[in-house]
Amino acid sequence: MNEKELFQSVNFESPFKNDDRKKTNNDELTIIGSSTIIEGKENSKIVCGGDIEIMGQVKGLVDIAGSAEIYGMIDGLVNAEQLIVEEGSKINGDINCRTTLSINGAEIVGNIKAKNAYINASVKGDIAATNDLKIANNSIIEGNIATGSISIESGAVIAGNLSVKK
Amino acid sequence: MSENNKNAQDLDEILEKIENIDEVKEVEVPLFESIKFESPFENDDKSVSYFATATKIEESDGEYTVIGSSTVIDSNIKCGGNIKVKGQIKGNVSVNGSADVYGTIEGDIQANDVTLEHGAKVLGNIICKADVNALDDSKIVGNIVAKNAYINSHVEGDIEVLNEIKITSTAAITGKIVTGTFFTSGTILNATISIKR
Repeated sequence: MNEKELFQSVNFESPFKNDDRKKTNNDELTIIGSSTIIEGKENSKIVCGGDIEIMGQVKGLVDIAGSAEIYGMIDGLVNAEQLIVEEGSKINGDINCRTTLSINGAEIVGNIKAKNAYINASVKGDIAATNDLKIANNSIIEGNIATGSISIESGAVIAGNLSVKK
Repeated sequence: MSENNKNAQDLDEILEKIENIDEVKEVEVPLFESIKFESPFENDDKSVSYFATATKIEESDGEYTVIGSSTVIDSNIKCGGNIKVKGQIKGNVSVNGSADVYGTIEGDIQANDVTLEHGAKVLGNIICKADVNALDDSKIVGNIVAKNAYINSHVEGDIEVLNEIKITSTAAITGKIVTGTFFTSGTILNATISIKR
């Protein structure tokens, strides 16, 4: 087998084949690394036209046009189209999510607004989900809840008023 | 006769300097120690030079922070790993590793090494432990302090380099240059150059 045949016989499968985001939005993706701290100015803010992944610490307003994944700490208001807050993260401030919000194992101090929300976390503040709200068993919620429809898993702790209106 | 005496005196002085070679070496060090960087961060002693404060950042080799092309950050950034700035930062950037700039930074940069890619713009000072590499079409309005500098771009400000500076024909520099060794060809320079050894 000569060199040309050898290379033709290799079927290389791209690792990014099914990852549309990496293909299309590579330039738009912002990543705040785990050792990165963004702070130190009055009225600090991050305005992001694309998607963002925050593993570090941010003090200030975070305004995201696309989706946000949070693994770190945010001290300030968060606005996003779609928001995923992962385990171990902390948000000290209000959350406004235009579509789907998912909080898993995080600590939130602030009011939450979203269209649809899945919450499996400790929340100190009011929650308003216009469409649908799911509260999982590890949730501890201290605040009022207003939503269009709700499902609460057994084990969840809720201290506050609940209003469900279609 | 008197001229010979003078030459002999000069020779004596030179010999003395060679004997006290340690003192001569020290000349290089104060260049870096004398940089008084006004720290953007709270609680930092402002008189401490950057190279002392840099170690305060949690070190994290190989980690990348990326500022996407449509992102605007209006704040200071401290980063233990490396940073790639495709968007815009209005604030000071302090990085343990390297800083790659494709976008715009309106503020000072401190890093181990800084690369300005095509189209990058820095309005602020650059303080660098190792190399500053400014590719063509980039622009720096501010002072540069570094070990080595490779400039292909527009610079409006003073450049202080410990080791060597290389300036190519695409560069245009307005300011003062202090350097150890100086290489250039076909450059537009509107600068005062002093070479220190």
